[in-house]
Amino acid sequence: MSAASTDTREEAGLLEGFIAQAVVDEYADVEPSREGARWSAKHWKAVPATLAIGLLVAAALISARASDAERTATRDALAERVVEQNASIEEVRQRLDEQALEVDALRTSILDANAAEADSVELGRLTALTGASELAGPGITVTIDDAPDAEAGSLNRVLDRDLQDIVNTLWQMGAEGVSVNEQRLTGSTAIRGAGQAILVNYQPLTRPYVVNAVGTTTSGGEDSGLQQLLTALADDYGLVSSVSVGDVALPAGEVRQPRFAMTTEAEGDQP
Amino acid sequence: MIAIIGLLVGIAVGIVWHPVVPLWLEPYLPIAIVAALDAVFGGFRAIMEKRFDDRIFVVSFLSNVVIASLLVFLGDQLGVGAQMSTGVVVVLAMRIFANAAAIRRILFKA
Repeated sequence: MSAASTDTREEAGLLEGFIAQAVVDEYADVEPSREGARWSAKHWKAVPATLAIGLLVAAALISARASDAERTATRDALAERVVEQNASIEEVRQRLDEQALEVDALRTSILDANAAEADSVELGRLTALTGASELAGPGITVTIDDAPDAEAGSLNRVLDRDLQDIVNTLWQMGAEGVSVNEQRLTGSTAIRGAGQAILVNYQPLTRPYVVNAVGTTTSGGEDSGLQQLLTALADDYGLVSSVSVGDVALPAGEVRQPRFAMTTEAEGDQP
Repeated sequence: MIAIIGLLVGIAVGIVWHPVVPLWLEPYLPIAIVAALDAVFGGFRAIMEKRFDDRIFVVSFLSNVVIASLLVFLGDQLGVGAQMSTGVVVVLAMRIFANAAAIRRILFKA
């Protein structure tokens, strides 16, 4: 008890001593003079010093301003580069799409030339199911959007798992192909959140989210899983959604070559 | 009065002349300014107490700026630059407050 109080007193003493030493008056040794006002003529040495201080302040202001301008220029240049690179990515992606179509056409023509009609049909069925080719036909469209008063970071927004639930329900209802905002779902597609955005095929989506499904021609009625899911989302989080039945068209997705799968019969043909 | 005019002329000259601060000197500029401010307040207080001395003013200005910058430079070399500049700024700010309090007491008698 007493030891603690001594400690605090010592601490206070230390701080006081520190302050006393730190703020020692530089002019302590100078005697006060009578003629206080007329110091300018006598104290001419102070003038260059005040000039130097003013110069220092101006230099600091200017350098601070200059580094600000530099930062802005750097940020603008970076933003420009991002836009440029995005454009070139889009260009390359488009070329990839074109060449994929070309490969498809060539394969079809080879298969046709070999008169393997059955193979061609089978290939068409498989590419449609895996998402490698475009798909159009009767289906349904589910549109879902954030709650009207949703704030950033709140749960009243469409989350990645909401979209996952909707898509899984559509598969359950017998959909043959599904796309979200023109991103076709394939076997290797992930619907996942990254910060505030939802990524499908690594592409960020913007709201509202439009889910197209080919192969289910009914919204399932009031008691269906889809309706129950949408009602629950509306009741719990205020998400706005609508379902319409009609012809929909899905774009082709990117299907990568399986890297580890091998057919058991043709072992040795493939590396 | 002449001190304030000197300060303003210095700022004006600096803005017109546009001095380029070398990059290695840039981190020490804010510290140097706080140190210079300390000298200015000390000098102002001395004027108020009618015991201003130009020699002491010049020496205190130069030594404040040089020592403060050197301390921060040393801190940078030892890897404690941020802490060192905090310490320097705290001490200088304390001195400025003490001087400002003395000036206030003389000016307003409060």
